[in-house]
Amino acid sequence: MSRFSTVSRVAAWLAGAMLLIAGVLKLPDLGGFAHDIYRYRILPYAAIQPAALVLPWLEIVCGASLIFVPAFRRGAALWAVFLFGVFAAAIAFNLSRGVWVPCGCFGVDVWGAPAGWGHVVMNVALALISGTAMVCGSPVDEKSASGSQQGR
Amino acid sequence: MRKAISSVWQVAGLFTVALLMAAGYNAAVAHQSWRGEWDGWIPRQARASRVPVADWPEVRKHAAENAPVFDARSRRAYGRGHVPGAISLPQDEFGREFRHVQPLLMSSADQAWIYCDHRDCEEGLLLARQLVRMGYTNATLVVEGYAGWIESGGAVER
Repeated sequence: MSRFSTVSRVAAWLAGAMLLIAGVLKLPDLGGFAHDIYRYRILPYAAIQPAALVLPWLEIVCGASLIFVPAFRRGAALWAVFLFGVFAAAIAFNLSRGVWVPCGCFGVDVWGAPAGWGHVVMNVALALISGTAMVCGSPVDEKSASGSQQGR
Repeated sequence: MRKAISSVWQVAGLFTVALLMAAGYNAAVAHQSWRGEWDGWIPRQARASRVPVADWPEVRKHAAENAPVFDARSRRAYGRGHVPGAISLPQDEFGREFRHVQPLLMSSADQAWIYCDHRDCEEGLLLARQLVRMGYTNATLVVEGYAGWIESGGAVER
């Protein structure tokens, strides 16, 4: 196993663990999570409830795939980059227009304090970590790549 | 190219699994509506908490009574511009600032108006709810907020 694939594997585990924890912690209070999304004042009203119901499961499915299902690592990492990127952009957008709302990152009111630039930095860092997991891709890709090299 | 196609399939597959699990979990455990009624959520919450609500024309009608107007937004937002004569009372500083505004609330026989940024902001509701719970039932939420004040052509004080 190359050093490069070890790095991407660790990155996948890290991003996967964050997504998995974030998703699981949101499940007990989906109504409260919908309220958190409402407070961001970004999504149209009609999209708030579906987003609150699906997003935690998307985090869980992608987090679990990053950790336990290497064959789906590339797709899950793509989702992770997208999700962390959207979270960072949403928080930065609200901070820039003076809307102070709790992050809602790990369920309802776990920290209580409004989201700050630290949350933006954390999400950007996680998006980069997810990107690292995506660069190497899944073991299927690695196998096919090594197979084609052997064939030459 | 093959990698890209496989990635698209994976992304779609993961979303489908998440959607199915969300639907299953919601049907079996969470029982949440897929169509929440978020339009007008703040006035509904205010009424449910027995907080009186008003609009700016009503506030203007009572202008001669000199009832205090409280700005529940952050001090930074207040500094950028506020309703003339409004007193800054950020919702998250209520505990610290209450003793300064208490005399105003006690002397105001009619109303104490509270506003925040716009129709969907929560700071005004939270502040009004706190005051009503403390027995100041004259605390009234102006649901249109500062945005409504600007839209109605109200003057701005800085």
